Amino acid sequence: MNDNDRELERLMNDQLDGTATPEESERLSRALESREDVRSEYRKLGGVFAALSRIEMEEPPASLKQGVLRAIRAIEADAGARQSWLDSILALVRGRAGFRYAYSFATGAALGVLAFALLSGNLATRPGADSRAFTGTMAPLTGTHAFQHIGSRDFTLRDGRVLTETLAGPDGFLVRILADAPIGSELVLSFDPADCSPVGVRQQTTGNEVMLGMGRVSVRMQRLGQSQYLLYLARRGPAGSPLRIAIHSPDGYVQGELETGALRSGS
Amino acid sequence: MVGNREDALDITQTVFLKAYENLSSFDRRHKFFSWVYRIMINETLNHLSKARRMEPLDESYQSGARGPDEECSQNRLRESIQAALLELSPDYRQVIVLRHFGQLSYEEMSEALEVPEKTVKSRLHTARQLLGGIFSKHGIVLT
Repeated sequence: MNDNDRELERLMNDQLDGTATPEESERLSRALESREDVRSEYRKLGGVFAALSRIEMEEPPASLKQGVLRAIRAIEADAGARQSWLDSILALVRGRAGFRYAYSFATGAALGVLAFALLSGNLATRPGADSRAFTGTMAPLTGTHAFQHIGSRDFTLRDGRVLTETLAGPDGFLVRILADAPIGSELVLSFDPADCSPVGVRQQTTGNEVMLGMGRVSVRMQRLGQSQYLLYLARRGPAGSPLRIAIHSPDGYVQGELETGALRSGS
Repeated sequence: MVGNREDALDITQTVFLKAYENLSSFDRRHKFFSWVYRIMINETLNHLSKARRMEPLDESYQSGARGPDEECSQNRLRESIQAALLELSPDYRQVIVLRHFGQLSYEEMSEALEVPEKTVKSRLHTARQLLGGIFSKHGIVLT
């Protein structure tokens, strides 16, 4: 095969592939008009394309997705047994690239659903805004050397409590929530998605439902028990707005803001 | 690629699990699905090399077992085409699968296969030529 034949072969493939330029198509047309051997080769190659188009892609059965999700849950459970919950969120912070994909990968959707756990009690809240400086009942978080404390809040409920702490990280911040609220309560943390985006969320124990969505993370209490959550938010720009927290319980509603000094200053 | 539905399901599940377990090693400079395809190709090739050592090719995929009458039926024709594909070596089969069934661009194929685009195109052209020869050998005529 000489250079001209190789060039014609390339032109034929590109033409059938739909990647030939108008000039290349014109050149091929001229060759097809003048040479029978080129016409014969082109017909044969066209036959290959036609044959391949007869094979239909088979849709994977639903059981495949279920099998993958079951296996992923088994991996998660196994990993959880070997790694502390704090380590797992810090690992996510270190390897941020994977997390976003983990969600779309495992669920096929923009929202990720995890389980959360919360302590019960007959939570009764005072209506309206309520937040005050945290007074120290939240034990220091160990293993977070790369993070600097920004602020803490104590949301007192009639029969429960939600404590929060925000810490500045290398390119975002960590929100820690210690919650004690009755079954049926919902805790919603909202933020401006233009300012920051969630990288990972982890719970210390399982049993409740966590929804991670655009501009918000919510936890619906479905079981008894105190539990703790870590949410890592990446900064998307130098300016930012504070995080807003709202706690809806069967008996009331509490809301407030969490300090994100590092986010606002862009440091 | 493997010529067996059950094997394809097993491999697909393994590919997704491996991708999930190795998400932290994913390099963001590359396209995500090219990376998944890379895992799929490796897993498929591993499977094929094991199968080659352990089992003969399923008779139902050996196109020589069919006569011209059978090939009149569309289903038989499709089976013949699939059987012809299985006659290609894995290197050539994978470029056909990625391009014609996966609809990947040359750039994406280059990433998935970790070879230059020029090599992808050259391999694809050769694969199509070989496939044309296999079709002729088995009397598969398509226009």
